[in-house]
Amino acid sequence: MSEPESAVSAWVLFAQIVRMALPFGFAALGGVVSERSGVIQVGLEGILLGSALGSTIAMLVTGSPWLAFLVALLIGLLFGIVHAELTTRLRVNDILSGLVVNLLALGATRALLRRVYHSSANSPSFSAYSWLSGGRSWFLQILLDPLIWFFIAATWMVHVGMQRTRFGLRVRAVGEAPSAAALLGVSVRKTRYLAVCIGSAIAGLGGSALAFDAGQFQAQMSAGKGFIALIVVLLSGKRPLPASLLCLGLAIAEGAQIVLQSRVALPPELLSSLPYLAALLALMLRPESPETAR
Amino acid sequence: MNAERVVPAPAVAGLTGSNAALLRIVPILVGYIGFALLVLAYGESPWAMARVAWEGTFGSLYGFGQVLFKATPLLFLAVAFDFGRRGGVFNLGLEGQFALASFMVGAVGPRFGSLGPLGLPLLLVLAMAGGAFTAALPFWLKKRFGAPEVVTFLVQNRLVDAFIAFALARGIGLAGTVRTVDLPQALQFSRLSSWFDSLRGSAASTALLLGLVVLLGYGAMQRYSLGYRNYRVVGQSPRLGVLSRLNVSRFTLAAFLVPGAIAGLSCSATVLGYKGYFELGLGAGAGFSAIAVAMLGRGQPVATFLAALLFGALEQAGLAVNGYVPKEIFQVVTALVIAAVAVTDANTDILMPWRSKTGSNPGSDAGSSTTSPVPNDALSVTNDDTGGNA
Repeated sequence: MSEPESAVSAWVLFAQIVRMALPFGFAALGGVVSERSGVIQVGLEGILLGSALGSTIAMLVTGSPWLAFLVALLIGLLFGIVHAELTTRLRVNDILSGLVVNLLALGATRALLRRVYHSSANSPSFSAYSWLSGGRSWFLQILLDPLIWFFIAATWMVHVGMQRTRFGLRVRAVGEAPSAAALLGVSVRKTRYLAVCIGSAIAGLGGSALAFDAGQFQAQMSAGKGFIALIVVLLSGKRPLPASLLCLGLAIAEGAQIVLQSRVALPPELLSSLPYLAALLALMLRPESPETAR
Repeated sequence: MNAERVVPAPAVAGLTGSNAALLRIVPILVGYIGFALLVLAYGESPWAMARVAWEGTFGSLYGFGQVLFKATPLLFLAVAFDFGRRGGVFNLGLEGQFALASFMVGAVGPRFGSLGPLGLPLLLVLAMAGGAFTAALPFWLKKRFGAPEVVTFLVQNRLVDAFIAFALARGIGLAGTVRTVDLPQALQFSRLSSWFDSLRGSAASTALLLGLVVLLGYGAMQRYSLGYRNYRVVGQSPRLGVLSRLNVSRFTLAAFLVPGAIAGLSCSATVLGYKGYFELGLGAGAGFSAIAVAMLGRGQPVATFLAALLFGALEQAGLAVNGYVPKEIFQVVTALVIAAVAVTDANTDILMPWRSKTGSNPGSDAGSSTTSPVPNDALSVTNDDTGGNA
């Protein structure tokens, strides 16, 4: 491999890393919104999986990425409604409800995969963006990927929404002191319901990112990313900006894994757990406990 | 003074008696309706598929044997989950604890062959140690760094998976495969079919008996053990435990490690009772099904056994219908059943108002729960502050 070539591949790798941060990122943002309202969202994993299949089918049928994003949002919202119904109106434990969402998504995606594409492993592949085909530079690859812009917008909107809007204040109030919020006339149930739904819809876009990165749907392609997002939510102290930055860091860990796999003779099975180890390490090294974080 | 005080046991809340049995029908109905709709979506007849599922499970002796086989690990795992839950720990890591114990038994087991009759008991001790060791990581993370176990258990599962895949590929497994070498026959549980010829071909083994012993032992412990009573007090309210001068940190340690050890025993049904070796993914998924079994069974031996049979049957039924409709639809059905169980449990006061008047289910009676000294049944699946303030 000549020198300039490897320089180019390093930039492509950077673009790739930013893309890899997206599934974690959307899921973590969604988790932040939900958990700020006091509802744990273990179902992120299932939402990623479900919306990944949803946007794959939308892509294969219509070929329009925008429609695929919409479908991903809607599927996230659907799982969000299930989780919100179970945890608020039906008073089910939120961890258990999250497990139900995960199991539902796992079974439903595999069953659908077999029904629609007659395969137990993966769907046919699609080309993600028509405007990105034909070897664009890394810079354009980032610039022209709408999901990256969605991610930046979502981070900003969650940040501003939590800090500056009436709804954000209510979400934080019901999360931190539900009885006080109820005394002030804020409906705990409604606020949590909305927060869980919004959060799940955002996480749904993470599924799109997964599917668009692979160019197809693969069974169990979320591979624990939703669980990692849960750690990120915890590490960030339920704050959107740190959560997004942490996801970039995790994507670097995953990028390092891919580079190392091709260059070092380290076993791939261990390298694949690198993001988990990185997340655990960050958990141990965090300076403050998330409860005290603002 | 180290002497422990015996604290009066909190009233055991929850579903008992015949009214409860009535509510247990709801999840099964919901599950069946979901199943029927899914089957219709695949263009098959729900009735015919239900017949196939029945034939493959309770309708034939072989099927019944398979149901028993699938139910056996669930017995151990459900006891493990229930034990942890009553100690205040929601153990989502059973999956990894079970897997690492199974792997250790498969990897080290062949060396135990020379130990004669001592081999099998020692191997079971090893399995318990493996499960407890796995659970020690989340415990340490919680104790040292305050990391909530909801997250760390899930990470623990992933790390165990990665480690096992690594170890099997690098020398511990048979070359070119993802399994370990065969265990000597003396170290395996014998098949039930060697006693009952009609179960021939099914993988049910005498590990079932071990599972029943664990289950009954757990039932007896709940009834007679004072230490366990104190443990539950700490699980429900650590502050009450501190005030009662109970050793809270020791009970917390038990709430992490004991379930790990019991989960480790489940490998008796898979590695020691069925395959005779460990392979990648053996028994996967049981750790999560067991949570539902435990919630259905609420620690009561008979109910837990029936719930384990139900989930064993759901899994086996999936295999039975796989030729017609994808077996994955049974994962959806399982999710529906779990949700329905949780919903009926959390809303007993609404579904059965005459029960809540007696105050027998404080878990879902949010109004009184804030004033009672022991606020909630630790086993209740109620999301308390949501119910109370909305």
